[in-house]
Amino acid sequence: MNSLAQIQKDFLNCVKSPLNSKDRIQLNPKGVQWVKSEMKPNDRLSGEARIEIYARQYWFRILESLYDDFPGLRALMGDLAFERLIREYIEKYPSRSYTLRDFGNRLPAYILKEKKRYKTNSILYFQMATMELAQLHVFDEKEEKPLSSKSLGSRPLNRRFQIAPHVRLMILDYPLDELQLKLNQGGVREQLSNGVLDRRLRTKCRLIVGKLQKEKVFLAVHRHQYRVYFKRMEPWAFELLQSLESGKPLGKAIEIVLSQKKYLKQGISDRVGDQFREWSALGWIQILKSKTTFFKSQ
Amino acid sequence: MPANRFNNFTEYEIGIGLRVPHYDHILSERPTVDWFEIISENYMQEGGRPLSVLDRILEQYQVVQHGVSLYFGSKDPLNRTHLKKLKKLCQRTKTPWLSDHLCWGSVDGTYSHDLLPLPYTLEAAKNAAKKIREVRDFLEIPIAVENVSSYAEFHSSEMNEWEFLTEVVERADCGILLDVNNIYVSSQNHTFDPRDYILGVPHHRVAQMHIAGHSKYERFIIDTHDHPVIDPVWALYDLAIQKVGPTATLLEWDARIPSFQEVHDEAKKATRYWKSRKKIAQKKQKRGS
Repeated sequence: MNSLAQIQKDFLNCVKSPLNSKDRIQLNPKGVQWVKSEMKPNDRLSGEARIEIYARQYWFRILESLYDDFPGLRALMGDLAFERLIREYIEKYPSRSYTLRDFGNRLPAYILKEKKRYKTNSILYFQMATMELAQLHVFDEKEEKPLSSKSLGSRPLNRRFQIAPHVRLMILDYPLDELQLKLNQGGVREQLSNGVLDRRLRTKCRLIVGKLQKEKVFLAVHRHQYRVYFKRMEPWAFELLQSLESGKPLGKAIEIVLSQKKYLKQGISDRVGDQFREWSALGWIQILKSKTTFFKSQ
Repeated sequence: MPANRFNNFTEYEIGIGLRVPHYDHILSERPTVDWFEIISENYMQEGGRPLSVLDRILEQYQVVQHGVSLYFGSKDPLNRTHLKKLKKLCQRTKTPWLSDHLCWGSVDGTYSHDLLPLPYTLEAAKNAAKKIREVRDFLEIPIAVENVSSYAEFHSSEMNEWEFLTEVVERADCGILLDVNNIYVSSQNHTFDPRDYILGVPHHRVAQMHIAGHSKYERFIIDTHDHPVIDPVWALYDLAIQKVGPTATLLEWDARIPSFQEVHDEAKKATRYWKSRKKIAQKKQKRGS
């Protein structure tokens, strides 16, 4: 008799095996043999038909979760290509977390891995998947309180900061933030998140995607009072935040940005203070918590 | 009977599941509800709207935690990170007891996100009981395990489902979350008398009950939680109340969720069985005196 561990391993292998084009279970010969020896049929269903119920539940539940999490990517790729991508992804990267919320975490990397197939679109798809993932993450990350001037102390330029977890920075090659806002209008997003798009919405979706032109966007995906927002940033402000994120003290980060020729004529030095105050008020930046250092006694 | 050590000696009555479409209604109308059940995994984050809503709910209502991913039956060891997050949430909600399912769902750290059926063997019972004890010792609150709906059976099973449930809860010395709808669904899928199940479990261990609706297909029934409770399930519930006594009961409605009022009205139907059982008990008492 098989051990409990072996039964569970074989059962899960059957459940995870890809469904065919009619969403029916398709077991390999080893799976067929295992089902015969372990699963009891009844007067209405064979052992294979009974395990198929679980296989369909497994696939449909995860597919639904990816449809829900990546509606923008679906709009860009089209239904067939998106469905193919996520079915392959589910097969290659089964869930390693107790929550489905984490399931799509490796999807952007998988798109890059498949860049030969997507050719020039691979960056576009990668960035959309990354942006949608950022929205999921900031939705339930810890929101930090605004930074008070008192907490900065007497020498703020020497301070190091970190970006709050409810903020994600990204550079886009296309205005994907605008694209997603357009998709959110008129019920397109709701349909993209679950069911089959009707012809009118599919056409609308194609028109919106068709107008997409290259444009550099410096973006922060962030949450404010339980809603997720996009905030476009000027390049210098974005670079300043990135410098802070990399651990440079405030003074040094400002110096790096101001010393760049491309920003010389923009009068940035007058605006740095206001920008910093805005980030503080939004709780975007926090004082870096110092790590405890232990010294060995000599 | 309803207040016992498995539900921390509470006397909760009829509750409903706290679900996103009802957040606004509950926060603005503050309806009278005895208690809410939350799915623990939906609130095990660091921040965001769900936690903020939960905190506001906790100011006014009693909350009990119900989980879907402890997988007591998995051969995998318990996930310590998951347990730590769960404990943090328990401290926040002050849940009097915690429930999860008697099933498995992961192998070597790969998750199915489903409540998969166990073979009813002594090995599986011992494994589940050991893990339930570990969880209870870590969380320091009573645990109740729920019987799941199942669609498959194993040749290797050595006992029936209610004997297996009894074996597990006796070994773990824990409570039972008796899901009457799940008993009905499994009885139809595996052809047994659901009343035998209800009569066969240790009644003194029942900490809570679940009722729900399901979907009937040509050759099987799926536990979908997207319909009102059907009469045969109410009849089983009546039998369970007769045997166990009026016990904290929760209506599960997780898909195609109607208005808050509709869900609450459906849940409150359970009280009529409480009342009729109380009347019978009173009559018996009078006759006796």
